[in-house]
Amino acid sequence: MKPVVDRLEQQYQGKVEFKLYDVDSSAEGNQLMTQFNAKYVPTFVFINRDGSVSTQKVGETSEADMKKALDALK
Amino acid sequence: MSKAPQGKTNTKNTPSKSSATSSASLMKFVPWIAVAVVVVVVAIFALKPAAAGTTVVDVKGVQKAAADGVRIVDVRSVGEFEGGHIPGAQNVPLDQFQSVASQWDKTAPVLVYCQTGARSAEAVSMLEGLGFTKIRHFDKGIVAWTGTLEQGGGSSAAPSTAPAVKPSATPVMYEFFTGW
Repeated sequence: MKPVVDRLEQQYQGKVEFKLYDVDSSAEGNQLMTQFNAKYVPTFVFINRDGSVSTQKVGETSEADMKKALDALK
Repeated sequence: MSKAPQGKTNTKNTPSKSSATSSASLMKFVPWIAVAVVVVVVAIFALKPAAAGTTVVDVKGVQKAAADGVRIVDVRSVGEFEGGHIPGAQNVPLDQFQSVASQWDKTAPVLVYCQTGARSAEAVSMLEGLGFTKIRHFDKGIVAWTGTLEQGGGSSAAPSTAPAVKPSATPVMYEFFTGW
């Protein structure tokens, strides 16, 4: 998943902020995961500017699906 | 010295000679194997007292502890705790654990857990350091919990600092992953 995420992060630089958490080592990541009610890894949570959850994707996700979710962000 | 057994087997063919030599060298190791066994046994007994106060428990063990009125402590953050915790658990985030736990009865049983077992393992060593004698560790963490979850502050000992997702200038994508 990492190469895809890295590539997307570059493409969406300035448009979408990427926050990546290794839940094995990040307490904050664990906390956010609980907050988003996410139970599996990897989980992707897409948040609009107003703070609302746009999409949540669980598991390996194709680059096309990721882009769709990123483009849908308001 | 080492030539003596070879001399005896000189008349025989090569394979039997080499097997005689290897069994002789095997014999040399017997005392060392005995020593190794003794060392392992001593090590097991020497290590036992340190771990004697701590019991690793599973979901059933947690349920039994809850039924017995054992103090159940969630050492995750306040936000994680409020998102869902084992019913009846008390929240003491790991960074406050040492000072809060030092005020508890050290002879009473305490059960600790976190998300996956990493932070609770730290809490266990703090409890051991403080001299607690009846420590129970739900080492699989709440991810392995199959019972119901209680939401909200419950009997939280700390003030709520759970951050909401705040509006921001740009949309945000969070990814949660592990190194597995």
